[in-house]
Amino acid sequence: MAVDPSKLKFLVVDDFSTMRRIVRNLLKELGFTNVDEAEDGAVALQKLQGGGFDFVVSDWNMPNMDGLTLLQRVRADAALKHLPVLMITAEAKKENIIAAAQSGASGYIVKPFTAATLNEKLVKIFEKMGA
Amino acid sequence: MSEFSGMEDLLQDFLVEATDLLSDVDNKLVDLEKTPHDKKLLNDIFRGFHTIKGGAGFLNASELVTLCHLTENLFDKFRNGEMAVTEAAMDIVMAATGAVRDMFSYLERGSQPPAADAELLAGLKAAIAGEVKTTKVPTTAAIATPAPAAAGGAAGPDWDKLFQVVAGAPAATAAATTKAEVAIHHDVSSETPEQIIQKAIGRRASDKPGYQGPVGRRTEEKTRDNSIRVDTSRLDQVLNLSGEIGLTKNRLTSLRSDIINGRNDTDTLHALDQAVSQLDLLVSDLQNAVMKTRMQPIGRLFQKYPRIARDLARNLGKDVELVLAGEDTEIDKTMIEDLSDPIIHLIRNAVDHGVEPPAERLASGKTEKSEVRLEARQEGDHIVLIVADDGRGMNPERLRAKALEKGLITDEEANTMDERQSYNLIFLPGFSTKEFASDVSGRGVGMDVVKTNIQKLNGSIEIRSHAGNGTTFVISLPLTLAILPVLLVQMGRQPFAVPLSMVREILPIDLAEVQEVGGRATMVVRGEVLPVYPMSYLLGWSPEGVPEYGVLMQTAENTFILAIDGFMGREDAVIKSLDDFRPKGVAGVTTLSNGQIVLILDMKELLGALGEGRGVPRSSFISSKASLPEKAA
Repeated sequence: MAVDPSKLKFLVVDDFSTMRRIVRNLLKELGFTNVDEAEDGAVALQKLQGGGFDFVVSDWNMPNMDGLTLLQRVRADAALKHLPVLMITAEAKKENIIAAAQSGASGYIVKPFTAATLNEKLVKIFEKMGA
Repeated sequence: MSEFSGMEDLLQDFLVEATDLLSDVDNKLVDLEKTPHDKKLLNDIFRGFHTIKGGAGFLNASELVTLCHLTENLFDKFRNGEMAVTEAAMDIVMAATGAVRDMFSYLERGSQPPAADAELLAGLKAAIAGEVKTTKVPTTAAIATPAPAAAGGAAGPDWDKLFQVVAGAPAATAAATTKAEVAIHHDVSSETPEQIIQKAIGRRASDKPGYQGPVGRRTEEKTRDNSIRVDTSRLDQVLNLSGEIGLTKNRLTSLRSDIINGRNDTDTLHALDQAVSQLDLLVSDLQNAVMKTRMQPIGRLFQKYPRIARDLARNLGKDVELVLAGEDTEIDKTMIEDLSDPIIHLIRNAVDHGVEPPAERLASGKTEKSEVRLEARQEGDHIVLIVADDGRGMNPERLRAKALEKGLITDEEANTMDERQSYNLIFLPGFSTKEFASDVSGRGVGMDVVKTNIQKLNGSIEIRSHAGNGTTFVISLPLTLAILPVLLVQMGRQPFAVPLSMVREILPIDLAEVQEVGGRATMVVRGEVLPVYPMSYLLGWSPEGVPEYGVLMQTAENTFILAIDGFMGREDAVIKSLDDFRPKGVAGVTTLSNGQIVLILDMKELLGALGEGRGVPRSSFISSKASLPEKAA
C-alpha cells in the first residue's frame, strides 16, 4: 500500500456503537489506527466540515441523516467532495447499490465482512485515487 | 462461551445494545398499533431489526440474521406503503420480537441460537409473499440478478462487480403499490399471562415447558448483569475528585511531618484544620460521584412494560394503555434489576384485577380504554414509583371476607380493620395464590412476593384505592442500597441503629399512659391504639430502667412503638454486612465517626421472634431488677 496507514484519519459513521467498534477493530487490524466515530450522518457531516479527515466509512440506515444523504451532502460540498466514502450496509439490494453508485460512493461493502474483505476494498479505492 | 471465543467482548456489547434496541422496538410496536400509518415509527422499527441483523452477522448468528431479515423485509413493505399494517401482521411481528429476544438469551449463554419456530418463519414469509402473489416483482433495467435470500451467506453474489456495472448506469426503479392482507397463524389470546411475561422479559427461556436448549444460565447471565454503562463525564468527575484527594493527602502528609517535628503554631494548626475540612468535603463529593456511576435512568426498565401490558390486556380482552412518566429518574442499577419482577406483577395485577372489562367500564360511564400509569420520581432522598390504574378500585369488605374465608385473619381482626389495613391483606402470603400460582413459571408469584422484594430493597409499598376510581400502588425506595440513613437509639448506654425509613416520630413515654389491652402493652397516639415493645425485651436483655422515649415505627404490615432509653440522632450508615456470622435481628454493622461499632437492627426479624400474638405484657417495662419476664405467646 502506498499510503502510511497510521497517517490516514478515518471517520466511522454508524448509529449502533457495537458496529462502530467492529469497524474500528477491523481498521486497526489493517493498521489504520487514527479513527474517529460519529453516530449519524448529521454528526458525521459536522465533524467532516471541521476538517482533518481522509476517509469516511459509513453505515446506510441511520436516524437523523442516513448514509446516502451523508454521501450526497459530502459530494455536494466543495471542500469535502474529494473524500473517499465507503458505504457499509446489510442491504444487499440492487436498488441500494445503484443509488450508492449514482451518488458517488467510492465503494460498497455488505455486512458481515472480514478484515480481508475490507482491506481489498480499501486497496481498490486507494488505487483509484492514486490513478 | 466456546462458540464465541475471541468475541466475548463484542458479544457483550452487542447484547447490551441490541437488547435496549429491541425493547425500544417493542414499545414502538405498541405505539404503531395506535397509529399504523406513522411513517417515522415504521422506519424506526425497520431500522431496529436492520441494525440487529447487521450486528448478528458479525457474530455469525445466522438464524438471528434470517429472522431479523424477514421481519425487516416485512417492515420494508409496510413503510413503502406496499402493504397495510393489519392486526394479524402485527401479531406475527410481535411474535418475531419475542423470538429475537429468545435468541438473545441463547447468545447470553454463549451458544448460537437455533432456527426460529418454523411456523413463525412461514408466517413471516407468507406475509412478505403477499406481494409476490398479487403484484409483479419490480425489476431494475440494468441487470437481472436473482435476489439473495439473506445477506450473510459466504458465497454471496459479487456485489463489487454489480456495483461496477451499475455505477453510472441509469436505472428505473418501478414503484410497486399493493395492499395485501396476510393470514398468520399466531394467536396471542391462546397464551397464558406467564408465557406473555416470560416472552417479553425473554431471559428465562429455560423456564418454558418443552425447553431443550442449554441450561445453567445463571453464571452466564451474571457476566452480563455485572457490567454497567457509565457516562464518561461521570467517570471523569470521579477521576478528578480522586486527584484532588491525592493532593490533599500530600498536604496532610507534609503537615504531619511538620507537627511531628514540633511545629504546632497557629498557622500550622490552621492549615491542618483547612486540609481536613477540604478532605471531608472531597470525600463526600467522591462518595456521591461514585454513587452516581451506579445510577441508571429507570426508563431502561420501563421500556419493556408497554409491550407486556399490551399483550396481557389483549389476552384478557381488555384495551389498556400503559402510560409512562419520569423515565429519566435515576436509580441504583442493582435496584433496577430487583424491581423488574415486582413491577411486572403490579402491572399485571392492574391489568388483570384493577381495570374492568370494556363492557363494565362503559356501563359505569368510563371510556372503553383504560389507563395504567407507571411513574417514577425522586422525592428528597427517596425514589417513588407509582403503578396506578383507573379501574374499579378495591373493596375492603370483600378483601376482608376473602382473607377470613382463607383463614388468614380472625373474625376479631376483620372487625377492627380499617381500609388501609384491609388493602394490605393482599400482601399476606396465601391471599392471592389461586389467581397467581402458575405451573408455567414455577415461581411463587403473588403480591406477598412483591412486598418481600420491595422490602429487601429497604423500600415500602402502600396502597391507595377509591371505589370506582382505581387503585394506586406507591413504592418508596432509598436512592441507594450502599448508604442507609439510620436513627441511633440507646439501650442503657449502648447505641443501636434502626432504619430511619421506618421511623415516623419520637415521643416521650409516660408509663401511666401505657395500658395493657388483652395482655399487650399499648399506647394511644392520636386516637390510634399502638403496641409498645421495649427494646430490651426484643433483644432479650434485662431492662435497666423505665424507657423514657418511644420511637413510632411503621412497616408495611404494622405500626408500633419501640420503647428506648435515649437517642443520639441520625446518621448515614455505610452498612457492613456480617457475612458468615449473623445473629438474629441484626441486619449488619456500621462504624460511627468516633470509631465505635454499632449494630443495625432488623426490626422485622425482631418482631417476628415475638411470635403470633405480637404482644408484650406491660409488666415487662417496669424495672424489675429481678428475672426477665417470659416471652409472650
